Amino acid sequence: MNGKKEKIDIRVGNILLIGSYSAAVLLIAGLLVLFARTPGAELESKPLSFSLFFSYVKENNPLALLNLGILVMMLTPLFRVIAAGFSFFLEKDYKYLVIASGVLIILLATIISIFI
Amino acid sequence: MTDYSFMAIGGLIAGLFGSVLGLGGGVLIIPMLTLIFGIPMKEAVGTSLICVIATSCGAASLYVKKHLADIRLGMTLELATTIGAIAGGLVAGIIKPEVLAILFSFLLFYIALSMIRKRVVGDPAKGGEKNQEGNSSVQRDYQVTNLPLGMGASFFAGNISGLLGVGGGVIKVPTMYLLMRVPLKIAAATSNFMIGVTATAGAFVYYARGEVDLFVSGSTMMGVFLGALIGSRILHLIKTEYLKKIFVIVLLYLSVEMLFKGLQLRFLF
Repeated sequence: MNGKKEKIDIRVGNILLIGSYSAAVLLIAGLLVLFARTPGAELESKPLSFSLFFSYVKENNPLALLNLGILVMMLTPLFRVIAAGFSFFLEKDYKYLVIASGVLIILLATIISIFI
Repeated sequence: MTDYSFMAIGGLIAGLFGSVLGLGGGVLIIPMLTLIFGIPMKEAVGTSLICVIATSCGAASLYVKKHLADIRLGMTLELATTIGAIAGGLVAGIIKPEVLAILFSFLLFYIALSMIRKRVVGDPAKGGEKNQEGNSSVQRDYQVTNLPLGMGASFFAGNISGLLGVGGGVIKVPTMYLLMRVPLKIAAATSNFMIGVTATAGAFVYYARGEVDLFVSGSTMMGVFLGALIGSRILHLIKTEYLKKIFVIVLLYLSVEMLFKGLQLRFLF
């Protein structure tokens, strides 16, 4: 295992770790603030959406934290593709930079399709 | 509210069993949400995909740092798994939920059968089923073979993931190990590494259709994440031999339940 490979492994591993723990903290914080403010709150079923998230942010609603936690978890793999691509760029490994860009384009296209 | 607490507890059990047995939590989450909590099949699949991202990211961070996952191979195969997952997610949108339940029942049966026949299902922490020769070192100087076939199998694995809300490791690990000549431990870790991106592609398709519920996914994901964390820490303390036998019975039972659900008949639930 050479030094370059170790660097990419650590960079990608850190992104995954930070992303998943941040998402967990946001979820717990959202639930704690929600029940601290409104004990015994009735939670109505709500489909997740970007517009719902922004409306919660405007209302200063703690559900924004919960919503953000799930979004952070869903976007963590995307960030790790970017981190890997960045590492390939630094290593001048252009073949895998193209492959990582391809994966990124597929993921971004799926996300953009939500807004169309 | 009580339902959401129970979903979190159910998620915790699924995450715990999933990480100890080297399976994603999806095989347990979908039957739990549909059979116990009456969540619609497609919403359960969307929720499961988010839970699968959580377990994959948590576990993969560990395997990547230990240099067990082959990032370059994983990224290459992800080109196929992501397209497969999007296609699977889109197909799930147009077919009846009952058909999805029946397909899921077949998948559970296949996984149970794989476990009985001791075929590789992927447990990077233990080196999988077939790596019990006491050889703890991981072979790293391997040459990947049959890449085009591997890409085809990866597309299929992604398709299953997007369609049925599972990680697809049950297809990817044997493909990499048997077809592409990747050492088992690396195949299992790489499969786990790939699952997050594959599930993300599928999850956003369900998200776009409004089939990911805020509270159902939030509570279940929280449980699964904690369960997987605990599972990965107590893994070395547990003898999985008996656990696997019990799990096979549970999977076979769930397979029958899901089949009955798909046929709109009642078995026990």
